[in-house]
Amino acid sequence: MELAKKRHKKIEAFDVVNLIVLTALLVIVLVPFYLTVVQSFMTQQEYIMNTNTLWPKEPTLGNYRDIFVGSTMVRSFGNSVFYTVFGVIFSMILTTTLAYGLSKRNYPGRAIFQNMVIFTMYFSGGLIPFFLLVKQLGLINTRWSIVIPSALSIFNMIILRNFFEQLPPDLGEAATLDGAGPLRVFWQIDLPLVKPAMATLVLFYAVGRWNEWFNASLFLGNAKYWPMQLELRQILWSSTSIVGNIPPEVGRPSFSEGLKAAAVMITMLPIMMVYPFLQRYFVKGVMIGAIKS
Amino acid sequence: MKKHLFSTLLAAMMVATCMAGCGNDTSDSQSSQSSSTETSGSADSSAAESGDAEADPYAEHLSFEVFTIDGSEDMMDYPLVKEACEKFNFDFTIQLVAWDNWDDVTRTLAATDSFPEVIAWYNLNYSEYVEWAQEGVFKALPSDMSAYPNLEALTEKYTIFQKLLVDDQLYAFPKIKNNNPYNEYDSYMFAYRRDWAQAMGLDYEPVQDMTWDEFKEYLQKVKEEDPGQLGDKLIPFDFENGGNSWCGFARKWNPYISGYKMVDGQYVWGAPDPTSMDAINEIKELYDTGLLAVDSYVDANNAGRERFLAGRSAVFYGNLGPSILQETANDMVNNIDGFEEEDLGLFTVKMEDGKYAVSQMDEWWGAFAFNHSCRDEVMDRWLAVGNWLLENEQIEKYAYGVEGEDWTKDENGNVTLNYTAEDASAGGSKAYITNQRTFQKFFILEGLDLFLEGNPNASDYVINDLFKKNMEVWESNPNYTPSNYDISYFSSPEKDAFASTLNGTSDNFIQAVLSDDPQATWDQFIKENQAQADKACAEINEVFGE
Repeated sequence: MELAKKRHKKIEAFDVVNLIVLTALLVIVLVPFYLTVVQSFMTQQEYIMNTNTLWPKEPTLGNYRDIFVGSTMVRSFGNSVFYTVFGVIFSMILTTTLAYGLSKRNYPGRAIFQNMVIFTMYFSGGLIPFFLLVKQLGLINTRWSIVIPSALSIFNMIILRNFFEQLPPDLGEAATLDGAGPLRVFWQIDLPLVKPAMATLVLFYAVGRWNEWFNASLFLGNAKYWPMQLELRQILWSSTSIVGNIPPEVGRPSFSEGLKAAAVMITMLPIMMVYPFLQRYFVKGVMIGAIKS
Repeated sequence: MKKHLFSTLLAAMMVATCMAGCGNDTSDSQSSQSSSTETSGSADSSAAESGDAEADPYAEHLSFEVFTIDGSEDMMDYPLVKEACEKFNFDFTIQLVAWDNWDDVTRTLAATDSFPEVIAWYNLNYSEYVEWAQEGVFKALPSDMSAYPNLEALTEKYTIFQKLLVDDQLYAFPKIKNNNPYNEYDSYMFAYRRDWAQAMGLDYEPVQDMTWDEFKEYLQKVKEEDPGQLGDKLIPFDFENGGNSWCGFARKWNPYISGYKMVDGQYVWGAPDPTSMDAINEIKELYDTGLLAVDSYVDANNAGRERFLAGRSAVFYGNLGPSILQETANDMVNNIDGFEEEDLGLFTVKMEDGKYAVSQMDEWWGAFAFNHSCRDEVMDRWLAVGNWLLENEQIEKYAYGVEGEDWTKDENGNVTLNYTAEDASAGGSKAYITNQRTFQKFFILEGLDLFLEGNPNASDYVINDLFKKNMEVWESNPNYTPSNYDISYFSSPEKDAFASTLNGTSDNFIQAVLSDDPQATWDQFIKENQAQADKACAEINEVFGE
């Protein structure tokens, strides 16, 4: 009886308001998304006659075809996958090792290292010294100019360091007593315990790498290394070339709104697909009950 | 103690790293550039080689890089590019820049001395050009251009070349917009649906002359009779970018609305002139009476042009140079059922003074230039290619493709194309015909090919009956406003500071049109900015005032 009562819990005003607000938020998020999907399947003619329609009368894949015409999109997609996969791996190696080291309170020079690292978060050399550094390192026009120079996010490192600092030292000490060396403690004891944080950082890094275009536009003069975002920007530019200060003689226009919508879908879908695989790591509680001290 | 020593060492390492990063790479770049010249034979044979070079100025093969927003990897396979590379014995690689990051990348490369030898420069910023030329970023072009007669002819024809001289030397060669061979007028025109006019019982000419009041009456008639049966989708009058084009259209009343005007020998800010309010009131009347699309004040990305092409608007005002006009006609024929080329017409609209308000067209957009370390022979080769591309024979090649294979010409000069428009479009088997135009755009903008004799891509109706006729009508009674390069390119602290206000004129114009009290809204804009305008004018008058 009690159970049945609990199941049929009385709906309170707060729940109604909550439901309305959350539904409104859902609509605010989903409607533009849905309209973008629809727009990506519309012809220019139909879009201009009925901008906000629920579904096109004559759906077309023309906008997607226009984006993928030629081989550059497929190649740039491959480049983006490369930058994302290798970039994230490289970033995670740097982030975890630095964060782990800085989380150890008995590490000599910890404060100095930490301050030096954090200093770079607040003060950067600026664009020109950054470019000169990458140039001097011989990375210009190489794929590594996208992977290496921006490999470490100090902000992400601090997040992970805090997670490491919360780990009870007893765990590592116990493992050490059992004969484990520092690397083994790091790899087999401490690292698995910060998986939720790492999953979050992987996502942060992956989204950042996937959306990367500025460094690529600066360092990559050879278009065969361009990531998809840069390639898409170029396609969109050429589709709206009468806009702004560019004279019509420079390029020819096409259905720019349709191309934009298709580009948004192409850009968004792959990275959206990463979320379900990482979501289970976001659930906290791995540490609950692990230690009684 | 150990900690202090360690931290000092680390700090020293950081400083050393920074210093290394800021080092100069000139020697590297110079050596890499010189190494890219392939020379055959040893130093002993140099005398013999110089003899060959006299016989063939292009005996030495050159490799270099070109900085540009145009180009693709298969560019070297385009027949025209291939021919140029073989004829002038060179090859080049493209250093591609994304358009919307052009300024950042260009400035970074200029600041770090990282430009490649050839720079196909887009959207050249005049003050930056002068500054960089003075700082030695560029190499000066030869003062004697007689070796390149077609380029030299351009330098003599267009006034912009004089304006680009820095210490009597040209550091960039502007790319001329050669799309109106008839006069100096810009090509912002009114296009209208002749088929709709006929449906309303109006037998209008392809280029129909009318006054501004008659124009408004026509729009009202369109709204009332809805000849296209579009109902609430109908837009009687559309601008290229909706509200963002209104201020440009206002130049028909006040050509100086977003600039400076000479009054009694002194330059003053143009916006406060009473004619600005005339323009605001006229456009407000169009907007309030439903002759303009209700949301169009936020338009961008050619929304108005797209609506016209799709058949929603009766009249369109925008840039309709010959190539765009031809494309407009083609697109409308493709988009609108039953629409024929002759259903497109132009209005020539006389303003209140009985004249046609026309402005001088911008002569150029972008330029090509050379890095200060560019080799003389690379510069010579590039200029020779530019000169060659301006020959009629080459213009035909980029217009039609490979002679004999893609097109033939009969004894009367009529050209027959052996491919369809689909073949030449992106992804088609003859896409190079369209793509190789990017090579020509390194030197000069499009437009030349449209006026070739017997060009099957250009219709007689569009080029002659519409565009040329429109220009003739304008020429009969123009109220002509020439460009003022002196003022446009003059730089001084207060004037530069005021530039953002001038750029913001359009936003304030839109606000005034949409306001319930346009006079007060516009006056407020003037009042807020008059003091800064006066300071800017004082600097201008110090140099250019009479």
